[in-house]
Amino acid sequence: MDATLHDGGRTPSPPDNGPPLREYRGKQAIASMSIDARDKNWYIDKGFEILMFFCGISAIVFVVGIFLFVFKEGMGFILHDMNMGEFFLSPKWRPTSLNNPTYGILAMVAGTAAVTILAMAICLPFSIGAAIYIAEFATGKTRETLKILIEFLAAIPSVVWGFIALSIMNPFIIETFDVPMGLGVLNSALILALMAAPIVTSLAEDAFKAVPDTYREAAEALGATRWQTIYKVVLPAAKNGLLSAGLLGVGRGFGETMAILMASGHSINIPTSVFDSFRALTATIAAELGETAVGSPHFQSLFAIGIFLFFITFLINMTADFIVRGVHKG
Amino acid sequence: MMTQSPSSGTQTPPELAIQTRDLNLWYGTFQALFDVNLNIKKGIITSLIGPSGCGKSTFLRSVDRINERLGYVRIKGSIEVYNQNVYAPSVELAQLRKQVGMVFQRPNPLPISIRENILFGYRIHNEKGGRIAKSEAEGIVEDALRQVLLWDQMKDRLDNKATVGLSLEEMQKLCIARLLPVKPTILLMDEPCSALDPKGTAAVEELIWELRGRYSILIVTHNMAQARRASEECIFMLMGRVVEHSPTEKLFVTPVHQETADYIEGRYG
Repeated sequence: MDATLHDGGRTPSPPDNGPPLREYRGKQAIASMSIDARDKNWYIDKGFEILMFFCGISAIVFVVGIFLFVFKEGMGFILHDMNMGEFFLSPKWRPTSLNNPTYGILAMVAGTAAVTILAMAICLPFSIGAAIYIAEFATGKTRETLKILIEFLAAIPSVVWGFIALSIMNPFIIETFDVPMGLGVLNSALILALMAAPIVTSLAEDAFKAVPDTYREAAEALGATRWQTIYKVVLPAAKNGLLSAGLLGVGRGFGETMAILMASGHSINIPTSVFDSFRALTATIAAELGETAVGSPHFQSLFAIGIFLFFITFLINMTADFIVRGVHKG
Repeated sequence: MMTQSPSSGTQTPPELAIQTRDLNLWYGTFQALFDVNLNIKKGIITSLIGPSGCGKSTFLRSVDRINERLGYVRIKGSIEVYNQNVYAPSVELAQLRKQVGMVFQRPNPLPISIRENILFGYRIHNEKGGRIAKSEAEGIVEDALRQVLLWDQMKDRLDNKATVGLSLEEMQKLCIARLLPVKPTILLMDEPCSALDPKGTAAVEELIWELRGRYSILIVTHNMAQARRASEECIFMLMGRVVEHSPTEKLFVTPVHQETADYIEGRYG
């Protein structure tokens, strides 16, 4: 035993990820025979590492795969049938016209943009207000309950929101504003605002949580009230996080399909009032893709819209990400 | 150089800046302060020493009631700042904190410009809703920075963000400077030099010494040498109780209590 201990002192200590020294010495009698023991655990560990690596890169593989597929289908249209000016600047979407099919997405872009902007105008004040309450004022049970309820809001399927739009909001808007139809920009924006609220709220709350408490302490020690502290210190310090929360809400607005399909009225025109019906880019794809011949210009044009949507959401998410990274650099 | 004993003239009792009566404080169920009775004199530097967890920071943080942010603090007894009980229901926190400024252990400038950091407190306490004329603002900023010996370094970068590009020493001085425009009478300092290097410590200590007389300064420190050279009176606390409060010279040379003697000789703590 004496000799083993002595030997233990002279053997070079194990590499960083080796067992702790005490254990190492205890196993000395066995370990001294072969230090390089690739036992069962070693193989399990390696195998697990490789498995996790593939899980990790699978996200990239899928994103690239989806993009390539959408791009391949869309490219046929973009190269052969598309007129760039018509596609972006014409409000006429008549892909099924026999003599003169036109593929203009302007009306849909305008409708989608209008709804997203209105939805954010409704959603942001409420969401940021809710986030301020949760992050800065609420404590204990109130806070936990609120967070759970807000997450619950995010769990409602979008078709249920669409149903609410059709059966509750529609008659409500007709009666309240005395208009002939309640499906349109206002209805969609209200539904979208509710749908985006949970994610915007929880991202905004994260942004407030990321503001160091020392700032609040410093401001309060100087005599600032809670509101002055929030208004003058916390909000400015969290503004990048809030901006990115808002942008992700916008991304949600551009990408939402089912609820908007049901709430928008789905007629192609550039909306001029909040009660006008419109058609969303996503809803067009959802409604028409099943009705077209695979490989036809109409089929492919829907993929071109998909590429356009892909770029918009990609751009929005990148911007949001960029803004948040900017925060951490200080 | 800073060891002259406080004026020992006993003709008139010195005016008190902070006076506590039977102060007991609990964090939830844990009692952190026991029957603290202190009379802290006006216009001098008083240091608070004692081992970690003895309640010195707790005491400091209960004077401007910043402790209450935690939400589970309970207090019995009273703290009087210039004969006004700060725990009286009529006391407004903003007014109390205007009179009692605080410097924290880690310099905590706000993430706004140097200029706005200094004007922050002034704007908050200004009746006109924070609007100040530009010339007035310039004067305030210059005056505050001059008082903390920072004007020459800072005058060309007042619009820079205060949280980047400043040394810890400069940040801590800025944190002291931003208290001055609201004209506090008491400055509480919670280990103001513990995050600084020796050079920064010396500079900030010199500044604190510079400010004495104009403000009553209560400084918590872990560093006994600092207490000894940079304060006029010294309070030794242990396990939430005040053990000894006397002129610094006396406390370090002829302590009355055995615990004090043991602590300053470094037998524990």
